[in-house]
Amino acid sequence: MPEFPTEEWFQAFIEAVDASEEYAEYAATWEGDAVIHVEAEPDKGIATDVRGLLDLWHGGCRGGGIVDEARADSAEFVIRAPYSRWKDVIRGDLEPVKGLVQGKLRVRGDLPKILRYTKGTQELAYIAGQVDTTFPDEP
Amino acid sequence: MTITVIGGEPSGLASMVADLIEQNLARDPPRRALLRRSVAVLDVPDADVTVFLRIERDGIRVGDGDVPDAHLRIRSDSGRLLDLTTAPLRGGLPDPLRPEGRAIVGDLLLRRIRIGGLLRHPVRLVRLTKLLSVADGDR
Repeated sequence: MPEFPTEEWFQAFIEAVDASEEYAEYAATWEGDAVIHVEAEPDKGIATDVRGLLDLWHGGCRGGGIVDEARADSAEFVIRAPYSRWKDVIRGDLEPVKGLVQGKLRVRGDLPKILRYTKGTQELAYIAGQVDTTFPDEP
Repeated sequence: MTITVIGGEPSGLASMVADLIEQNLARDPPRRALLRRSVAVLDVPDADVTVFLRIERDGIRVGDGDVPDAHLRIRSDSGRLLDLTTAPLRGGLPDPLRPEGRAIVGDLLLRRIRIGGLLRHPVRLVRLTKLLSVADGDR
């Protein structure tokens, strides 16, 4: 079972996104890569920031994986939060739209475009929750 | 014209509203004509976030909290508030001839979205809606 936020986890997530009929419907016209930026929490087993790229294109995900800071900075969208917040999202304890409104998740990029695809964003969070996941701060 | 976010640690909604208006005005400069004196409050109880906007001809100030002199008070959950920005408009209000617009009208009738000042300040409401809108055009 892949551990969040490793390369293995992102590949499982990418595969699940690409296979999702619901995401394909909600994001049918979406074009643009996005980065999930996981901020380090050393006391929870995440020593450094992790940036996972999703190459999202017309309702699918063409690839991606963990990238360096320079590649992440060139992505069209970055959604950033501490590791614990992402864990809440994956577990379904934090709904992403509410997280954005509260500032628990912070977004950089073309905001009007993101708002037009909020259902797609919510579906990505749901799909993340469907990936069998372990967490480094849990036995 | 300046858009200022007041406060050291603004909520996600305050930052999003400021960024959204800034990006909308950059993309569509004629919308600057919508900048007329108006005060609005956005209240999002499910996220426990309240934001005010003070709109003047020369700029907008956005901050967290309530203000007593608001002309408009919009109360909604996070998801529906963001839906308001994406609804197609007709005459500056959600278009009842299109499904997304009808959904907003339904939410208003069922009081899932409440707009204080709707009847007293309809022109201010239209201006605010157009400033925040990410929908394509206004019919």
